[in-house]
Amino acid sequence: MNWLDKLTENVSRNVAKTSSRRGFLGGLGAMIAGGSLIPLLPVARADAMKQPEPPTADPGDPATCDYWRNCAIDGYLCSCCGGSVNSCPPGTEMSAITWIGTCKNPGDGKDYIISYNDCCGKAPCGSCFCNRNEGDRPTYRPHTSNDYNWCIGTKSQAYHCTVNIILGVAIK
Amino acid sequence: MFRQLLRLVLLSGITLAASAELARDELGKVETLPLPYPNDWVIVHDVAFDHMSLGKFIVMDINGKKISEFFKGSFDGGNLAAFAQASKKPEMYVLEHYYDRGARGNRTDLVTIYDKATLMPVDEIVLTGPKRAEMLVSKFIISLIDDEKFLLLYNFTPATFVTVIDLVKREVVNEVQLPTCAGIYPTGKRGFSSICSNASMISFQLDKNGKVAKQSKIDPFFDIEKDALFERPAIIDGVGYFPSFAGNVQEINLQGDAAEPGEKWSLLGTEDKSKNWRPGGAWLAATDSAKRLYVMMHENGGEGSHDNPGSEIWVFDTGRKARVNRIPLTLPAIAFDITAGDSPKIVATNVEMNLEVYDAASGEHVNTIKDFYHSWPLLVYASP
Amino acid sequence: MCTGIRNACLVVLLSWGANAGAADDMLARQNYILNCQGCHLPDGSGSKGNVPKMNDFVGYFLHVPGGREFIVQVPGAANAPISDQELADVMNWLLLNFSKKELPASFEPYSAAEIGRLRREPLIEVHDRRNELIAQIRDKLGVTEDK
Ligand code: HEC
Repeated sequence: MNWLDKLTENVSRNVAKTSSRRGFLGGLGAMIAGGSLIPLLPVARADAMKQPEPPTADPGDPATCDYWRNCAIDGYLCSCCGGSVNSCPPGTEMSAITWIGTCKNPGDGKDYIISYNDCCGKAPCGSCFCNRNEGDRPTYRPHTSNDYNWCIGTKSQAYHCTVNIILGVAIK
Repeated sequence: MFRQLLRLVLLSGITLAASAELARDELGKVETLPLPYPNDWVIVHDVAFDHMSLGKFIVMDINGKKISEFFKGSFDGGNLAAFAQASKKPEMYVLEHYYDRGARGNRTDLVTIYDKATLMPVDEIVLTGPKRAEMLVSKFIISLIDDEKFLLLYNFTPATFVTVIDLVKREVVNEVQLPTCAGIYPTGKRGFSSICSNASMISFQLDKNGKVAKQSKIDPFFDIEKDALFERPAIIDGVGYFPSFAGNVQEINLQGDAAEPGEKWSLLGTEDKSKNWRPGGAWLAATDSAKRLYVMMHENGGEGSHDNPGSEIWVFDTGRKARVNRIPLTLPAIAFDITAGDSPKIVATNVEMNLEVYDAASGEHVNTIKDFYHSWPLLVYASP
Repeated sequence: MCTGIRNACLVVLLSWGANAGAADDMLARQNYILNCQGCHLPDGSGSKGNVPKMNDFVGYFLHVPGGREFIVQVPGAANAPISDQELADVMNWLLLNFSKKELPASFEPYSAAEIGRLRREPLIEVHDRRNELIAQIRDKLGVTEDK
């Protein structure tokens, strides 16, 4: 659910969100602590970031707040701004510094590690505002906080929109 | 008396009869505002999330029914500005930045000082940057301490640190490094505390020159995963009341040199728990002149619901740690503040980005303020 | 995971190079991604003027007194919401993956116990401490950061 339903004109989202709550950070912790250690992350080295196996399904419309990868987004969806779920709109610069969370893909039931990168250098896109906060924590823990403008280290720090990039599947 | 009245009537009659024309207007007239602002005036931060460089603050009379009545004036706050106001002098401080080509080009970061009567920028302190934390929810990222002699600014680069401004000298006098912490909660005589990323706190006392005189670490005392404290407290008599995600309130005494976490108590009764009532919103806690604690609450909460709009505001007696009132909101709200004085009012930003006014004592809805230009009036600041 | 059994941990740590797909390695990497990568980037390269470059550099800290402590006591590491063992694995993983050739020959992997001790004393003046160590690295090894 988000604050500004008027601006997204998507009231049905409220219903969807309330009925799909997961305590996922806690869940992830439990998985790491007690789960089996069969690595599903298909990359062993940081400098060889590969896309994971294509998921069995990637349900939903990335240009809606409900879309699973948007589970902790706070800002404009780049899909509505000339970019896509994982690419910035033309003429913007993707901030390398960001925060990283996890969202469950209802398509294959797996927890994906998602990097929320801001696209920077133009006035705010203004379309498709979303504010979802699964796993979000207050600003005193920046690496899990979506409240900051993460346009940091870019030529201009003006916030335009946010992409969400799959970094891999969380180890179960 | 009677004769005077008669004269008035006669005079006005004569004027009317003499001419139906209006008097000539005075040229070049600019309004000023009364000082101090009446209690029923608030400052509303239009964060302008879709046109951030044009963010602004609006002075509003919450009793006004239409825009010509409630809109008293405005001043700029570029790019998710942060705001603080003095109570001892008619000054307001806006931490902001601008690009010289809109969203690109050279960037200037500054604290602009406004006069409350004229709403004119009367001074500015230009900062080196970019450093300042830029965020929507921006109370306690700038704070006044030491009888309003120092202004503190929170920076995120993503290293975290605090800029100390001497307001008498009107210059930056220090930067205090933080071990990944946020929030600037005034503490003791001339200090502040912040909450850190391992659920600890850190407190500093400054000397007369703004340098660190004393520093205290407070051991981790809560669980960020299971029950994070909101960094958005209400401060009552030097005690911070920090609501938590799961529905508790953590008291933190800020009167001494160092923050002292005190009691933690539940905002929820058994039935509330079963319905998963939770605190939430962009600004969710405030207090009134009677020192009650107000917290905005929503039902069916859970992981990720902490920014959800609230459907009620609950009122607590902090001494008895008991709920004394429950105020249902006509429309769910995302932020609120409470005006000062003997008849406090709740001013809440509803989900339609309009303002609702409630009588804080009775909970009665008394006004709706809407149709004031396309804006995002996210945070409300009551007069001190 | 090498919970508790220190010998078992050591075996895993020492066999790292040969055993790139080890579960610990994967978990260490995942913990790096979830807790550090947002600021430090996938390859540890950081962001000029904002986050220091760790690749081809961070190993130098272990050549100067206090450096071994410093790189654990920085708040990003010390305050991470992971166990001592997990943080030890992340530190060892990042040193070997980002900066193996800068490590001293005598490099000993961090143990959970050492991490536990260090992280209980997080640094406050991180920036100042870092500048001191960078100066020592320059004096001792003749290397400077490429800023
Ligand atoms: C919110 C951003 C952020 C996160 C998350 C973060 N760091 Fe850092 N890290 C920094 C910054 C900024 C510095 C520079 C220290 C300073 O000057 O304050 C730093 C410095 C370091 C250093 C010292 C390198 C040097 O050259 O000074 C190490 C080692 C380090 N971090 C490890 C980690 C590890 C391990 C994690 C995850 C467990 C982590 N960091 C998470 C921002 C971050």
